[in-house]
Amino acid sequence: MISTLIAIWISLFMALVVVCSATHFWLKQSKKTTIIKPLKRYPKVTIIVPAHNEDVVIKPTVEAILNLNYPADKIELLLYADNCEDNTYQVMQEVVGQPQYQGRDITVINRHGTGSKAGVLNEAMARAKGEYLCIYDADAMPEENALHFLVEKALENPERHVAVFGRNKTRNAKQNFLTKCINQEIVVTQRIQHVGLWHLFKIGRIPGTNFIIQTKFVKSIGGWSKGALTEDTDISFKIMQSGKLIALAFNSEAFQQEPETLKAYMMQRKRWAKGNYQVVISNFKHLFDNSNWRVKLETFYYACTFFAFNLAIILSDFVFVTNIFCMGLEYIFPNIELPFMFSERNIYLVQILLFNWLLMILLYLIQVNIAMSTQMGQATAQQVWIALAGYFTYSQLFIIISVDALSSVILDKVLRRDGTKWVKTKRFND
Amino acid sequence: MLVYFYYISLFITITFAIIAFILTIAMIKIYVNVLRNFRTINRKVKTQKNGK
Repeated sequence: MISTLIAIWISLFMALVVVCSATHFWLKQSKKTTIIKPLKRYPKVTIIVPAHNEDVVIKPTVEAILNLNYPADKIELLLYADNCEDNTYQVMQEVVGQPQYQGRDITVINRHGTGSKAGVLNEAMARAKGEYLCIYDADAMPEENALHFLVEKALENPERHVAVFGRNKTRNAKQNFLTKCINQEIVVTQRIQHVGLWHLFKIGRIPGTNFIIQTKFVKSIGGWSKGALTEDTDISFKIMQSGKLIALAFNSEAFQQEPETLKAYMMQRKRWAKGNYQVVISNFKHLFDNSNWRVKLETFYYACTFFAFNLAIILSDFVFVTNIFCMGLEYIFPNIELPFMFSERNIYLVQILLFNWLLMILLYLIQVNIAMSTQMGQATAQQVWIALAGYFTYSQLFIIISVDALSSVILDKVLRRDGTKWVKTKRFND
Repeated sequence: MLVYFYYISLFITITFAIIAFILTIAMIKIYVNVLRNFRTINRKVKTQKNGK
């Protein structure tokens, strides 16, 4: 019991370091207004959109890309209909065939190949003419100035900022309780975690969409790993290993669709968790060698989150459920004793730990509200109630997903299964 | 041993409580700054529109 508490305290302390860093950043940033200034130069950017069975969502994404506030002659757009069994390719052709997009540098490719998203990105990398590659998922509509902000950040220090990432907002946030919780999670991850890590350690994480990367650099590291379930985490580690930075352009936004059903959500998150486990396990050795300190810190952070913290929460839940069960059994068997408890002599310790537990919930709510406060209109009373309800419901799904994903990784190794099978996230009409 | 754990728990709880208090103040400041910025920009946009 004590050891699980210590593990939780260590994880909470690490999280609070990041929260405090993000809060410091937002205290300074919230006094400023964003001004869109012309860039020193406009490098050519190859925008890549990998799409697998995305006919429901691809049209608004392509239109949003073609309406970006960036010189049209400096954009090369590569649209990939990757192994599609629906009308994605036809919809792409229909959109780019519109009169207002005549004369634009657009190629629509009907791909039949292997390697999933990483395979598409590697193919696009080989044919790209741009100085930078910019990736948008099929459901991620960029805001008008998204690319402008990404390039602006890259040009701040082109030598070190080989990649720049923005944030992704949930466009179907109001759909149901699940999407509201996902929206909160994403806002907190981006406005607290990403900002906090960048502000304090200059650590960035490529999110998979709404980011740019130097074409020359990505070629030098051999492109994306084929078969990586989370090609974004994998390439993030490679970039850090090289000593370069993944910079954060916090004003660059894209609007993406999140799963609306529990089944779709669990499948997506299991893939992410599995991919992250694979990356952490393969990078674990770097904790003990001469690797870049950022790689060590990220590996340690991931290892703590996915292993130590998870184990602590599982043990904590086990203690809680066992005690509750025994309290119920007391009605039938009055002599039964609770297996996990402090004696009556330690009543003050029990009180302190109870207060500690309430404080942890309060810190969680404060973190959510800090994230929401950074943007006008988001810090509402409803968000507080969603956070509270989500703490006891949505957040607990992480344990199930992590255990499922880790079991899958282990079974893949033992049974020599193909662990790279990519299960598509279901899309919805919005 | 539990006595030591009690004092460690007490220290950690007080630390978390202080951090929670500071973060709450910071959150209110951020909220007020964002609101103030929004109103300033809104006013400027309205002035520009009226000027046109």
